Amino acid sequence: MKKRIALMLAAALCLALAACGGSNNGGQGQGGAADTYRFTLKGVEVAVDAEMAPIAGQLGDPTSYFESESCAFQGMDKVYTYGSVIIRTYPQDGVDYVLSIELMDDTVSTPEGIRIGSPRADVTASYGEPVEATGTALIYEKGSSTLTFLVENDQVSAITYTSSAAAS
Amino acid sequence: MKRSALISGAAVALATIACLYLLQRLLVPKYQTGIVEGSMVEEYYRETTDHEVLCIGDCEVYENFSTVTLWEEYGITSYIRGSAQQLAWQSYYLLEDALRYETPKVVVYNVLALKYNEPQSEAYNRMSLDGMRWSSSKVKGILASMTEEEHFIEYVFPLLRYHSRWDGLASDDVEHLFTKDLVTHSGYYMRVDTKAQTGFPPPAPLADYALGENAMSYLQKMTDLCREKGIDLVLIKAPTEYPHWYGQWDEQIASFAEENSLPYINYIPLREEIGLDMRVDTYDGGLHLNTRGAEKMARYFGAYLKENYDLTDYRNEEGYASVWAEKTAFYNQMKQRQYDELEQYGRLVSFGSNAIQ
Repeated sequence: MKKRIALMLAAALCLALAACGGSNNGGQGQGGAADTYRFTLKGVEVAVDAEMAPIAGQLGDPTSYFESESCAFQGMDKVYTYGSVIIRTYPQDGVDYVLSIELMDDTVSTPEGIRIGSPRADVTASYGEPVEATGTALIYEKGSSTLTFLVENDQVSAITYTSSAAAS
Repeated sequence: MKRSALISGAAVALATIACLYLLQRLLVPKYQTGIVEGSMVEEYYRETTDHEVLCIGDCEVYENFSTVTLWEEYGITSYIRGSAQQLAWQSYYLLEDALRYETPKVVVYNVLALKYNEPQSEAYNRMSLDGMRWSSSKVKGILASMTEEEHFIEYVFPLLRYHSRWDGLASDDVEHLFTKDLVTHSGYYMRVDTKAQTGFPPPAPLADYALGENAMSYLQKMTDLCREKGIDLVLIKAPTEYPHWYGQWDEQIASFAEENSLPYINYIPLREEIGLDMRVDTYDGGLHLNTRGAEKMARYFGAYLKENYDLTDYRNEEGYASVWAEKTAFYNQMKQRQYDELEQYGRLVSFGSNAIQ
């Protein structure tokens, strides 16, 4: 009798172990868009780690769209181009989040008024001292977002918002 | 009485272990249909003959070079020890692991993954590491690869990781509880379908184009290990253009190769010479080659290998010929099956993303 009870307990332990826990089956943590740098495109606020579907819905059809299946089908990497702005996404648990926002030319600017061609001094005047400054880049961080200004000949040559929450 | 209690205790312990073992076998992903990349690393241990050429790296090796074509055209015995998003440290430890079983004449490493300097994703880690046999190489590979959310103990006892996978169980989990089918051809992942390359988005500008110190240190370790074992290491960049391979990265690899007296071949500018036509030689819009492209690539690369290294043509050696005859038959059989599906359904249904259970 004792043996039977012990065996039943062992089986119950196995089942409990197998059935417990959540449904976390791999991958990364949930991305969030709070307390990050934000960019405004056609009146729509876009931030890294924000869910892309509602943003895409508000922005309407992109100028061009590209998608590629990640290796071993871990989701689709998507690239939306809206005029002079490129938004790239990353998949997580079946949802696409904003990975990066790139400003391609001087027809668009950050909410603080910096655009390609702006003097380097204007960047520091608007954003303060960067967390990292090299000869060719000024890097700012807020929450999980990184805002990078590439600089050539003392002028901004590229502007990119990127997520540090997403594995690149 | 005491003896009886001991026997009862032992029986309970054994029953518990058996139960946990079976649960673990059931719940760990099988990677047999659709996402087969997780089966690649363990398939290597089923090889019965050695190889003169061993390729390591990510999808840019296991999808772009036909090992059977290398055999058929040149008699080269090769194996691709590839896995999805195989990071530089994983390549190093997989190489170290492979060298326990054989010493190839040439090791080929594809450099794209050097752009990653830190652990990236548990899902990919699992595909590269779970299939390794336990050894110090596997332990070090896990420790080097884990993301912050991962725990070493879950690699030792995968049940702790996958215990909640009940709702994801599929027929493969039962069918392949104890045995697995081969999913590659000496490491080559076959796709015969075609989706033309039409263009890629512009590459994102980077604040820093320097390849990471951590990743480069493992390239150095691979170089040193090969040198120590008398193996020739060849660095390559596959001919596919996306994800973007920056010119600055290319220069760094070329410098590394020069400093270490290694050959480095970037195949992107050689596509015309290879005969690649990205309208028909890719199955996913230019990210990877299809079988037609991989066979062209193997013909071109095989000629380079034969010309520059002292490789044996094993086609007339019975021990190898019979093994590779089986491999070739399996290769042709899968190729025909894929073509049949394309003809019948207009797309692959038993392979790739359409087959994911």
